[in-house]
Amino acid sequence: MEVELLYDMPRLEEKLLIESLRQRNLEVQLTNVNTTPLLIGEAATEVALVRVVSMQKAIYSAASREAAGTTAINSSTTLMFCGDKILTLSRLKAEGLKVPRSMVVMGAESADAAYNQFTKPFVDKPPIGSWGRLVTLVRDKATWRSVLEHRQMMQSQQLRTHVVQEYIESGGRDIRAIVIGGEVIGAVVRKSVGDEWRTNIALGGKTEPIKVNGEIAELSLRAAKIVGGEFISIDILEDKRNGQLYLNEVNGVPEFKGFMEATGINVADELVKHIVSVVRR
Amino acid sequence: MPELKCPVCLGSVKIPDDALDGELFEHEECGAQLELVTSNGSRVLRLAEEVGEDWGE
Repeated sequence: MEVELLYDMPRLEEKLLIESLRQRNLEVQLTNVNTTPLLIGEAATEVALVRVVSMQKAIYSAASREAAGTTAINSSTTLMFCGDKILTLSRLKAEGLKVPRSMVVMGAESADAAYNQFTKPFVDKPPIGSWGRLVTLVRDKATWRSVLEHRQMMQSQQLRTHVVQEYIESGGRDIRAIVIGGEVIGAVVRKSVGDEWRTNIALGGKTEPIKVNGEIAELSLRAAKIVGGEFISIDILEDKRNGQLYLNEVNGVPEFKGFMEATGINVADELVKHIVSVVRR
Repeated sequence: MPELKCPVCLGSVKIPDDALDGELFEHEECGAQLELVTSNGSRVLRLAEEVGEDWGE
């Protein structure tokens, strides 16, 4: 059996996946999507593992392989919904999951109205991107005006769009669970460090393993099902005042270095085992 | 472990044998972020693209 791994910027995760695929005697076809044209409808392999860092390129990579009947993990639809926070939140909310109260602001004229409707501080972020980039905690109008001005200078319409979100008092921590093939394989708590309020590992956030309780498992599995994710990570905020859980983000090309270090779970191998089972179905 | 030339400072950069095209390396001597690419059949380093707006998980 052969698996295609599509990538643009190979990281430790991709190398671990390649190693796990080979250890299980699977042929690996490596495709750098920046240097290889993808013929729409050309089947390279039965399964295409999409590990492309650029969200748009990831969606196109999956779609072009799906056109030949290839199973893409994740599918182009999943990647599209996970890659855009407005689409993710809307989809989760539509299915009745608890998400932070969020508002879409697409023009400077609506910014004041949004500001007045949220308790301060609130969170502002663009619908695309990761690693905490451009995510701001807005405490006052002066900060809000600066954020609006800076984002208005950007070329991309998506980066000029704001997701304004209530700030959940989570004590500088969030929960990250990983779901593979309808099973929660584990969860960690990510904690912000020093004076940084964001918990992203890319910003120095630290991880600790936690037990997956029933509520975390149920939320994670529901989110995975809603976006059709075969291999996703789910970020959950816990309100420290009342213990309520909010689904915040769903990642379609999850990184798992920090998760592996904290839990000792070999995520790459768990995914490869799932891929083998998908092909044998 | 092959050594390639840094396009910024022209110093030497060691690349692991199993490195893949597209992989990023930081040149410790000059701090440049470099990307491994194959050009005309040869492996070379070029200055890496800045983080793209849609890069992420």
